[in-house]
Amino acid sequence: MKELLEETTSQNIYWDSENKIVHGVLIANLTTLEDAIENIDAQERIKNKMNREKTRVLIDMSSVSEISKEARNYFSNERTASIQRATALYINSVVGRVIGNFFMGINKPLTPTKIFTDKKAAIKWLHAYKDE
Amino acid sequence: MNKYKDKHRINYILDKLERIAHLDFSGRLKINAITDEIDALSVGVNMLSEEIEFSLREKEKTAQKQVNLLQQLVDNSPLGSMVVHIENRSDITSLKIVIINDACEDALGIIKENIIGKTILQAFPLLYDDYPVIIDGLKKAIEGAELTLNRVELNSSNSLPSYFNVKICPLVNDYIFLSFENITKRNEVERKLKKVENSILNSIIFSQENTRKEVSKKLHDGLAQTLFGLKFHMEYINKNVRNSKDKELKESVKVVREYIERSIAEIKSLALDLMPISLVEEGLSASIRNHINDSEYKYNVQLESNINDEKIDYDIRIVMFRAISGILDKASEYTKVKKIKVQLLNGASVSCKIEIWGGFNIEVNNDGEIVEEEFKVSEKRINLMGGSVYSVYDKNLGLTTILMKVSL
Repeated sequence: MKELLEETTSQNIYWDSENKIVHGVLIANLTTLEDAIENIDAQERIKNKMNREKTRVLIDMSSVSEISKEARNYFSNERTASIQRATALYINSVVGRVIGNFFMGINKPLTPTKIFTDKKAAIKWLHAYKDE
Repeated sequence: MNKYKDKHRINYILDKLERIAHLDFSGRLKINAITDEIDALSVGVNMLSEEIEFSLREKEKTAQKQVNLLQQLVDNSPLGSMVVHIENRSDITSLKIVIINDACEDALGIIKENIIGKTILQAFPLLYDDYPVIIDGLKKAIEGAELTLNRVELNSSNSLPSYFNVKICPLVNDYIFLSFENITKRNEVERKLKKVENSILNSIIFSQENTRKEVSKKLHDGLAQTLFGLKFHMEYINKNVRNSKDKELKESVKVVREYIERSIAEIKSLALDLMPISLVEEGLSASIRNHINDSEYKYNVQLESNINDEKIDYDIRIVMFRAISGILDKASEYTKVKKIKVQLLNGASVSCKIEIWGGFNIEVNNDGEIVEEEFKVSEKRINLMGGSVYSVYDKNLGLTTILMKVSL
């Protein structure tokens, strides 16, 4: 059961009550720093609403072909790490794979992060991290 | 898949990569909706371009911060200071001047606006040929060595030579710091001070010698003659009281007579010590020989002389005599001294070699110059005459060799 809690310029963010994870679906490219901040602000609101210390996050990157350097840097900073317990990146294209690998290899996020091409596997991996 | 279109898309990627290689980060590769492998490659190239551009900008910012910091340090330095950047490590002439302070402008007689941003060869065309020592220093700094070049002569714009202590110090990020301390004025002031000091010292020493000479003469001609007169009278009184029955009177006359004789001997000795008459009448070697005989040293002294006193000025005789007798007297305080050999020679100069066996060591500095205070005066006197004194101690032999030389 997924409930849409936040809609930003580039992302629809749901609360998956069954798996107790935040499910973000990117609907547009992230070309500015503001895009990234808007998304993390929204994730923080959900975290607070769900009364969690940190949340497990699944990001669906299927529709994305660009995430700017500033946005990538923001997603790998301490503020993002203070909100996300662990982040699974779901991709289903070669473009998504390049972006994901670049993010992991160059930007090196502080939160535990992994790329998946299978959503179930991604959720299973997130369950390895405590929900609190 | 449209092969024609794909070829174009790949050509765009190659163009973009070529531009990145030339550090041109303008333009982004267009991503089609297809999201195929070529799109993936384009996305990767775009991100790579962003990352490289960002890293370079960050590096430039850091470098600029360092230059600003250096600029502040250099501007506040009272020394003439300059910072150069190593553009090409294998080409010394590629060093580019990035910072110069006002003190450096004054020191080198240059206008900084004219040379900032230029290579050192453009700014100083004569540097390579005329100042190889600085070029060598810069080469060493490129290799990471820090060094100081003392008294480098640089011709300033007013054509008068100036002397500098130059420090060359490698910094981080391929920068080299140079400072130029103009020591021309300091040297000149030090030279003048030395001249005044020598002149004062000279006056003191020779007025001291004149006073000694005067007192010696007064003792010899005045007091000693008076005592001789008294002695003569006492001889007369002694003859007259010889047959007297007054034993006390006879004893008193005898005592007074002895006092007079002892006083005459002491005054003679004192007068000789103040100014050996033999130094004037017989010369340096005779005076030293007399001094050795009179001093009754406990050690064996061997004097070898081959000098012609007529050629030696009186002032030089005094100076040499005081120095040699001073060393012999000082050595007598050391019980271990067994033997001293003094050799006097003269030609174009009068020189003296003193060899002392028995572990008598005079404190000297690394250049063999005497630093022991008691001998400094003797050394100073000889220096004032344009001469020199050196001392060497051979620990194994327990032999101290002192060499003194004054040009005639």
